Amino acid sequence: MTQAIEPHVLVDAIPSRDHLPEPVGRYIAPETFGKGTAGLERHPDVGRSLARPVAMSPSGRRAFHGIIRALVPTGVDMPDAPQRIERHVRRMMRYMPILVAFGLRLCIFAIDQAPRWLGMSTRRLRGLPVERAREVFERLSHSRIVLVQTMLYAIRGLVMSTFFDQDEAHEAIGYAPVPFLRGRQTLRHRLIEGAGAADADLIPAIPGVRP
Amino acid sequence: MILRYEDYDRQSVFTTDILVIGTGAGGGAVGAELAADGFDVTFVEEGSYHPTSTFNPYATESVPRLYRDSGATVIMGTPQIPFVEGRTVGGTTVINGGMTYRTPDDVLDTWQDLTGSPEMGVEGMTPLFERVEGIVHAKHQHEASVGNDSRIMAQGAERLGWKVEINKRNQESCTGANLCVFGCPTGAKQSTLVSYMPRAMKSGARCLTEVRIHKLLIRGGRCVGAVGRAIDPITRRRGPRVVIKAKATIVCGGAIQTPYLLKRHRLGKPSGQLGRNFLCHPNAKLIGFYPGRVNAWQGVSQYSQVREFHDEGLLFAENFIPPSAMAANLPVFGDRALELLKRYDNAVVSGVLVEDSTTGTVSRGPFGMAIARYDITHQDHSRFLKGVELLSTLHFEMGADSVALPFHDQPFASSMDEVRRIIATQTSRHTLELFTVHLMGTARMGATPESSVVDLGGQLWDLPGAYVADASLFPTAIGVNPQITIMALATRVAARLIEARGSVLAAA
Repeated sequence: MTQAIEPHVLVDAIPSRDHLPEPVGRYIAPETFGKGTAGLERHPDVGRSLARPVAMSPSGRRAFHGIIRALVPTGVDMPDAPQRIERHVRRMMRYMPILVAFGLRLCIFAIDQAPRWLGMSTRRLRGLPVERAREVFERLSHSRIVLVQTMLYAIRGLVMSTFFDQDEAHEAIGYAPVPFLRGRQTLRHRLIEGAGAADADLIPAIPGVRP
Repeated sequence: MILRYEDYDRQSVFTTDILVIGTGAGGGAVGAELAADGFDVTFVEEGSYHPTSTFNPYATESVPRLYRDSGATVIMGTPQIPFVEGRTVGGTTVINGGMTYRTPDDVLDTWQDLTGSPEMGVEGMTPLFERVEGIVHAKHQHEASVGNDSRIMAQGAERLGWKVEINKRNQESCTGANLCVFGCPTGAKQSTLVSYMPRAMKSGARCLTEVRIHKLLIRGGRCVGAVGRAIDPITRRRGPRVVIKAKATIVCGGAIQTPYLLKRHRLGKPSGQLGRNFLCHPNAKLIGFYPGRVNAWQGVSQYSQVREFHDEGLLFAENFIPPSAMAANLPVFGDRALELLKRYDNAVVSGVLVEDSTTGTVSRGPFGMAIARYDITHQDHSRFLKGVELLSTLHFEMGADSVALPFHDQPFASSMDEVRRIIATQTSRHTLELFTVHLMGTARMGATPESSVVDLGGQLWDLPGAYVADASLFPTAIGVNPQITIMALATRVAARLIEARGSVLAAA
């Protein structure tokens, strides 16, 4: 199916009220502008906008869950964090070059085995209590071996960024972007229509800095 | 019209006047200019088409859709430098901060000297900058968009007597949603997705999305198009072969993907410069934590830049990021991470950008991977340490109670004495944590085939019909955000093609 360019892309191109050096643009009526703003909702986990997560063996998943449990904070009520993070990461892997995604699988395997090669336990990370698993990560984080640093950086970055992208984590840290973003969309709409910003639209200054 | 994966089963061979590979700052600009002049233009974009209405504040959805390789991209070297670039209609302009700095005059003077052409100097480039700035609405921010992190940075610099420059950005009525990195949710940032690309479409251009170009079509020593494979957006597997026959092919894949493609054909031989001269403006993040709530996620990113140390190749700016990105960059985990992220509202993220004093390389790796390599010099390492100390001074001057430093072995300090003590221990480049988004210089423009990869019109010296119009063209680093320079040079490439319209259309 051929997809014609959607009208909201065109209406996004609001020309400046300033004079363009050359009239290369086409004026788009500002009343149609609203269609060009973001919906802000999470995308449904169906359809074509996001790729399907890569497959991972049950053993690989258990290893990854062990890593996730050791890395994520306990102070946020998210009982299905390992499953959720695993699924998101498997989806991200779909977008990575095959070699990078393979490297990530190796990282999971190597970190799962870390208690053994660090001489801390005969059990794999997945089998250790969370506190003990965290000690393994502490040991790893002090390594001066570049390969270990890179492995840790990749896994920790993926897990922590995914965890702190969840609604429960946002709530725990007091981050609520959507109401603010909706307000900004409305304000922009008003500015485009020619209305000025009110004092209430300014972002309040904190003590010690000038507005 | 925009075509996508499902369309290529029905049609997989296209004929056009101009093939533009990439839709970012270079591709969008050159394609739109040529389409407006009546050329039949076909864009090819590896990513999908994600309009503004689909943008949201969630990293787990935005990063895979909008970023190359889901953001898992690294420049190899000492230290390794993660980088990001866009892979979506609009390219990196969809996810950048939207700075619209012109190339500094001293850099243009150097370019003029290097190329021997006044076109590359201040006088030659100024009309191009004016044109581009008009199209992307480069201007200062509305006061309602300015947040507290911007105020802290600007007022901190003022207190220390440092020069601050208020940024112009490519925006129309930006209200400071501060979500530039996941696609502007208000449509204010004039990325090529909402500026150049709609103009091109209105002029009759088409865009083949979800196609990765693998090789150029070369017949009789001339480039006559390109061949790629469609990419299934659900499985990411390679689909139908797509062939685009063109009278001129303009490669605009950026400073890593462009040499990757051209190197397949062993081009750039006269100078040996293809894939060399890789420049990346490495930068280090420094987070100031303040006793009160700053709410830095409210208000525009990079309202200003501290330019006091520009002569030394140092530039400071605030650059706030969503909590997911902050969590990924802090060298902590578990409850310690939560404890720190609970101070997200108290944090100001800032960066030290260092102008390159060396260059790296880009080469072809296995499985379709481009390998970028770059080692910072000891001189750059010293400059980073100096930048970190200066930026820490600013944060403590403004009342920060602690800072997170870009050293993975000693990441936190709660006083300037502690910062200095930690800096004194930083003798290895390996412990420095860097990042970059400015990738430049791997198919440099020049006046002779012995010193450059492309001529001043962007055409490859050793492959007529093939052009480059992206950040690869830069002969040297520019020390500022490169978006406008890329667009200006792409506009120059378009102008040259327009001048040569007759011979271009008669070719092939």
